[in-house]
Amino acid sequence: MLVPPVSEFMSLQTHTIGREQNLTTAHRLMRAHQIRHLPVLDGGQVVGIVSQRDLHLMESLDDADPDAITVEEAMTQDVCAVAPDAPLDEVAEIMLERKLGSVVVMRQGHLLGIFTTVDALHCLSRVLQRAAAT
Amino acid sequence: MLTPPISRYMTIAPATIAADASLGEAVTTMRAARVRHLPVLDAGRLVGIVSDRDLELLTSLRAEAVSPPPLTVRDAMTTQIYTVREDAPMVDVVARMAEGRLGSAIVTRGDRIVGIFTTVDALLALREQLDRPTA
Repeated sequence: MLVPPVSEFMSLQTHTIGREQNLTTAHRLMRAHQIRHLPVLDGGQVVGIVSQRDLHLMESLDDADPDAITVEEAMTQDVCAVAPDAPLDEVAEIMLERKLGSVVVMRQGHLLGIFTTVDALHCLSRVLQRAAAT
Repeated sequence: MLTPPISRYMTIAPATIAADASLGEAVTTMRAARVRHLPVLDAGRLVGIVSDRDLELLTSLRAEAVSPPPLTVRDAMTTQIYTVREDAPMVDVVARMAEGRLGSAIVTRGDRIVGIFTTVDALLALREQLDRPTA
């Protein structure tokens, strides 16, 4: 089977957030754009990624104030950027090796999308369906 | 081609943790079993799943609090559970996980937990399927 590029299965997503922004802002952005992950940028570089689940967990604590907590405190620092033409088997390998829940897809410093484990499930589902049909 | 059952790609006999266990106990159990997800049991009943990421986040926050309340696995776990039989076709399980944005499926035989299929197992399966030579 021809290995598809990551761009074929990524979620198109060009919204980002700064590391000094607070969780309330992150929440607002996620809600407004119906997204679950926000890459965190600093000077054009991806320095982290924050997910809706991270926000919910932090806010479930009694003494947590979403206005006072910065994105930097909630984000995962371990992020990886790949090119849109990166083959998916290699992307899967990177995610496995580095234990990543997602990779960001960038071209020349611009965010194009995110490939998460949910996108990987969609891709696997398609691959299995194709294999079953042959 | 027949699609494989979920049992072929699941992690067999996962370690479990009690809902009332401390976060520290959960970390120790995960490290010993070298896994990143633990099914959570309450009086023998499956009530949730906890991941290493859930634990890390709660632990790091707790370190910053002035007088942290004692947290248990129950505070960190996800209660959204998806269970499947071990002979369920993998293609169905994966499609359902994708639709529901589920991070794992608990695999059962009768009332017993025999395995867990997480997104890590899905990535392993994806890599294997993509690298298969074209028939």
